Amino acid sequence: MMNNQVNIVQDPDLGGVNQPLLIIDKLYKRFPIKGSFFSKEKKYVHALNGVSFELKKGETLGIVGESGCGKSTLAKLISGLLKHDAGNLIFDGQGVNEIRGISLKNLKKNLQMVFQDSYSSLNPRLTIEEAIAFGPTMHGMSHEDARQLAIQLLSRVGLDANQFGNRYPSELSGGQRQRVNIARALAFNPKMLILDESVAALDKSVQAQILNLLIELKKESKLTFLFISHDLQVVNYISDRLIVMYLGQIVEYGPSDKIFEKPRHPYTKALFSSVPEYKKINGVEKIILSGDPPNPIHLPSGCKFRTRCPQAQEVCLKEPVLQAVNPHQDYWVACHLAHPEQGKE
Amino acid sequence: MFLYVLKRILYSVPIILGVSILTFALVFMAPGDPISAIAPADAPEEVVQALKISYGLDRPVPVQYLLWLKKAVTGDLGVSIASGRPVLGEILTAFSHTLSIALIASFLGVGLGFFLGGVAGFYQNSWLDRIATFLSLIGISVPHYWLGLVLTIVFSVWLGWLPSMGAGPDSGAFYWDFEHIKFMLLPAITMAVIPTGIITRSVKSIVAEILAREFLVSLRARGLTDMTVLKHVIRNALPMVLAVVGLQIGYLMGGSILIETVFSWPGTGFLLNIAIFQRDFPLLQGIVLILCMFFVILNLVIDILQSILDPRIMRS
Amino acid sequence: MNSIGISNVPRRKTYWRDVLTIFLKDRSAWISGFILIVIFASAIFAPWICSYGPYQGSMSARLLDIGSPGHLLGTDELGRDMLTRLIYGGRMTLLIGFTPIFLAFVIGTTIGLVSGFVGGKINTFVMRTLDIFYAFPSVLLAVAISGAMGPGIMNSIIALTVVFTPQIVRVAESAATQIRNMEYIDAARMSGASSLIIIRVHLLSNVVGPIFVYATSLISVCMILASGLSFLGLGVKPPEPEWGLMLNTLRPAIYTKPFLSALPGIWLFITSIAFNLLSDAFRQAMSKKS
Repeated sequence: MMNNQVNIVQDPDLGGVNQPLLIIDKLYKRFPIKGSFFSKEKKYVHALNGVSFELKKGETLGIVGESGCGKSTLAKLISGLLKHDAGNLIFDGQGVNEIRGISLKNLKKNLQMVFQDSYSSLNPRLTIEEAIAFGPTMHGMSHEDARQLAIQLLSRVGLDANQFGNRYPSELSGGQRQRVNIARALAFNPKMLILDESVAALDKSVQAQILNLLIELKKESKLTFLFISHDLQVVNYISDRLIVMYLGQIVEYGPSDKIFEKPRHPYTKALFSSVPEYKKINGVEKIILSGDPPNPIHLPSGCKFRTRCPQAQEVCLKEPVLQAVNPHQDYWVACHLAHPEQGKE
Repeated sequence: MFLYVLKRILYSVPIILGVSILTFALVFMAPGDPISAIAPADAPEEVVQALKISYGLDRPVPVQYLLWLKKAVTGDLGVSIASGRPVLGEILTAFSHTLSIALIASFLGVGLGFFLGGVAGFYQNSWLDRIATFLSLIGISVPHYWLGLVLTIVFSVWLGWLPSMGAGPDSGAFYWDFEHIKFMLLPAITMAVIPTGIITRSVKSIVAEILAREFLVSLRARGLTDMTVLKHVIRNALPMVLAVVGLQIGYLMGGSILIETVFSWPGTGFLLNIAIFQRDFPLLQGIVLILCMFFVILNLVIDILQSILDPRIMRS
Repeated sequence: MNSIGISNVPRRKTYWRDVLTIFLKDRSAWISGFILIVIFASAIFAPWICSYGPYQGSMSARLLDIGSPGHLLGTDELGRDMLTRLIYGGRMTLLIGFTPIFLAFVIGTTIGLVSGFVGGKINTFVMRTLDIFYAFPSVLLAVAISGAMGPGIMNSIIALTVVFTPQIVRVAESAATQIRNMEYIDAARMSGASSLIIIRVHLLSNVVGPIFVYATSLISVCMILASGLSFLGLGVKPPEPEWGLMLNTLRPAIYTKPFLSALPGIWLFITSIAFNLLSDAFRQAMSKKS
């Protein structure tokens, strides 16, 4: 009895063994706002203001921040749904701007995304099997093979293909739909998976199930994950490294357990202080930030956080730079107070 | 607010220009070349040449259009081939005739439509609702020109109460006596049927939708009298209803040709009929242009009125 | 599952089947469907049903009353059997009532979906151009184009298609604009599918329902307008049997034979009611399903 596994063959790494899979270098993105009839000045929402980081193969990088910090914009830029205004986006050694035609298609094969709203991310008119099988057929797989692949993947994510394959998205629960979304992304045999608030809309118990599924998949296939969320506990559970964003910039970036143990940026500290477990462990009082987040149309000068920072000082009028706080160069913070020498330059 | 009005008016300008282009192009849709559409078939050569030059047909098409447009803007829509009279004058007279029956028809249609639609919307699924819905179905399904014939048969042929054709003495000039009004009645009533059907449907669905909105359900549950509810419904429904009513007036004015043909009522529709069968293109183009301009301006006025009533519309 | 792992469970296309089920439960759907089938089946099989030809007239048998021997519904002004002409008239109605809507549906949906999906300046341009057509009241536009082009079936069909296409484009474009922001479209973009494939696979199936319902609601309007064109002397030319044209040619007889002259309009009326009922029932079925 032959049980042939169907698969899309993964491309060999273009960038070589030691090159990070994803390099983001000084990425900028702004959105124009429809001006009124007579205004000459064009207004923009500054969504991303110079973001740089690297993602190594097999790593899980978490990105946290409040709504409006730019993390979803970042996801859309990386996945190619939006074009960046300035900076470099290098995936697997190839700059995303330079890729055209067939290569662009290949990029889309290697990089997949699981969206937040499990319902609107599935075409209500396609069955689950059809939805999963669609992608591989775009990359040359035959329809029969694609359906078989869909069935395999359904069981891999914990759904019985017999029961679910011919159903429509409206007949599934939120958690089941997210499993389907993961299966659909995996159908491409991608090198990297972006998860943009993928568990945010689910109940806590279901969240845990999906997260465990993701961790299993990570171990099995050495997938690289970019995990975006506003929920700190979730991110901590799954990420190796963590980026904290505020108003389109990175404020803290390093190993997630180290950051959790001792956050250095005032914003990170405030964020973490609201997590119940964190308070219990570290006995920290909840820091309530004053004021509202500034308008992303008119960004404050210098440190973007200074308008709400409880520790703001005069030096903060000067823009802080992301700098390493340890000799290993794997933990970076953008705050004058973490790098007293910076302000004196 | 003022800005919105200005924008809206400015936006109408390219629309009217586009309309004028399409209208001008009508001549070129005719079989044969334009000059044969304008000149009588048996005209001598010099007349044809003179016509060609006077219409600018020896110039390239875009130039022809601009010449025509220039004259139109100053009110000179040319001269009717059939009657020899200036087109604009004839159209305006006819326009007033159509307007008089259209207004009566709108009045009837709105009144009846509001009543039936309101009743149907308030008392959903009651027998009142069913009757009103049935009547509105009839209203939108009936071929109005046929209805005109039927009404003529009933009121003119059998009962002899009303005349079957024409505008009566003084050719439709408006006097408040039965001798003159009786010519208007049949055309106006016939015209009113379709708008009644459409307005009934629209009012019913708007009223039903507003009543179903949660805040009203709670108001009614708290025992507020139907009068208060009625006020709320009217206030919320008015902008949408205004749009429907205005649109109907526009369609009545624009689509009057069928009814006016049945009753030989000397309005723009009847004139259009004559223009078509006499291949009188200046007249045809003039009528189309003026009716469309009326329609565009009507829509403009409605939009502005709507935004006064409900400022939220301006932001969309 | 069999040995090579292909699912044996049959596919369930439940959406349209559910809509159909609700639709068939509606009594008005049955009545109107029945009426329409009678009218159009008789039109198609007319040569076998009718004992006369539609052009077969007799000067001595002009304007015979309803119920005359041999002529169930009397004869018209040229002695032709009314019932025969009415039945044959259904063919014309089918042709000039349906064809423009069908064409408008195909052309309008294509333009609307592509324009709505692509968005941006192209979409703005298309919609603004459409606004110009919207500045014409429908009857006026149909009469103007038809009048300019001259009488004839082809000309009427062209004129009516021009009238109804913008309306369908508008509905299609608005549906496409709503859907193109959905995340499953993003997911489809990320799968490497071309825009054309995305429109066909993901967009079309989601929007075609409402557009189709809207188009069916236009059929009765188109029918009446088309007959109206013939009534005016544009459109279908004598001696073809067409209900609007018949109303025109029978008009002088309203003083002497009122019932006879009103007959073609009754056919139009009934067919129109049937189409409207059908369209309503379909719309209700679709809104109940969702």
